[in-house]
Amino acid sequence: MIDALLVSHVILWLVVLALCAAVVALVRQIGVLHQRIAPAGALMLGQGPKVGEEVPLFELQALDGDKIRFGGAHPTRKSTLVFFLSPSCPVCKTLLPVLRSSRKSERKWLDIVLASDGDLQEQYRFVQHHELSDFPYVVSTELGIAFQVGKLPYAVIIDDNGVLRAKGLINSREHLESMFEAKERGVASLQEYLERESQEQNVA
Amino acid sequence: MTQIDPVILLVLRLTLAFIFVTALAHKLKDPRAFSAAVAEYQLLPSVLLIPGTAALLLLEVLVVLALVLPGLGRFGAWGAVASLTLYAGAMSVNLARGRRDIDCGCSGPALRQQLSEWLVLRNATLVALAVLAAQPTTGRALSSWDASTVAFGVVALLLLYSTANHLIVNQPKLKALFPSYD
Repeated sequence: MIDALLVSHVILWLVVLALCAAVVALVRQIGVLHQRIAPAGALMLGQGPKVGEEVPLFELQALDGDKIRFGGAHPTRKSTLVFFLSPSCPVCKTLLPVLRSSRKSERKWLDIVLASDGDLQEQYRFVQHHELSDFPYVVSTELGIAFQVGKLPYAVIIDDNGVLRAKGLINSREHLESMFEAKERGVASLQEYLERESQEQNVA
Repeated sequence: MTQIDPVILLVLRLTLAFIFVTALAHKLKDPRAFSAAVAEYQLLPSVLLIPGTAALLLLEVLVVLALVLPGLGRFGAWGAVASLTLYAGAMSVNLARGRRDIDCGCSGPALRQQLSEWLVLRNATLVALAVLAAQPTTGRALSSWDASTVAFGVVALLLLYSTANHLIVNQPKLKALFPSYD
């Protein structure tokens, strides 16, 4: 009798542990799925200059004193990514490594400019603390207003002719890459691309 | 005070010890990240940041040691109650301030967990278990059969704890899928 109980005890525990392990594995998979499905592309908010329009001309001074120009023809025929961030935005900080690697990998065709707003001292501390001195860093309220930046982190891509090519809310590497992709394919956003695809399929 | 069977006490104390050891390992591996996480809570003035972080780590080390040492288990359990309550309180304050975006700091920078009510609930559950673990034993003599119950029980509880943590991490990701429902 005791032997039978002992055996059943051990078997039951083994089954319980196997089930627990299965649940942990499933939950992890769900987490991975969430992450994979999530980025349908940078979310475009319907404000500010439209994709395909020329952006207003801006000439701003960066924190290190350099003059930064937006809009109009680019002197070296490169596009410009303006990344709007703020020292007080935690998601922005998580994207700094992504910006660094993009700056390297997309160097041939893209300049990355960081744009912020608010207290200057805080910006200097932020740049120093996160070692951002390689990036041109502009502080301008007007720039944010011109692009109607409501939520951070936000980014816009301006092409070599000063035309807005992509814009959107950036929360992950995939969002940022979706904007590069959008620019390359000549669509305003990945959402538009998917829509166009499905329409073409309908016609065919 | 109610007396509790030693098997239950052992399961609870060893489970708590494992949970603290894993959390502690992450924190000790990167103490600067932990102190940055503590700073993000914005509860300690910056002069107290380093000593405060050190005190938290020391408390956790003592809790782990007391939980596994024979005769000190009850003190370890009360220590666990104290530190878990402290963390839950710190999280509640920041949730009340609306600072949800900061990292919980619970298990190092690798597994980032946003603050949420669920984390507070998780800590409250652990506190309840720790209070149970701090009760006196009935003193029943243990047999070899009990050893298997303890071993299996601890592993099962740890797996359940891991499940809960993954679910908490997944939740904001799920929300991110439906940004319009925010």
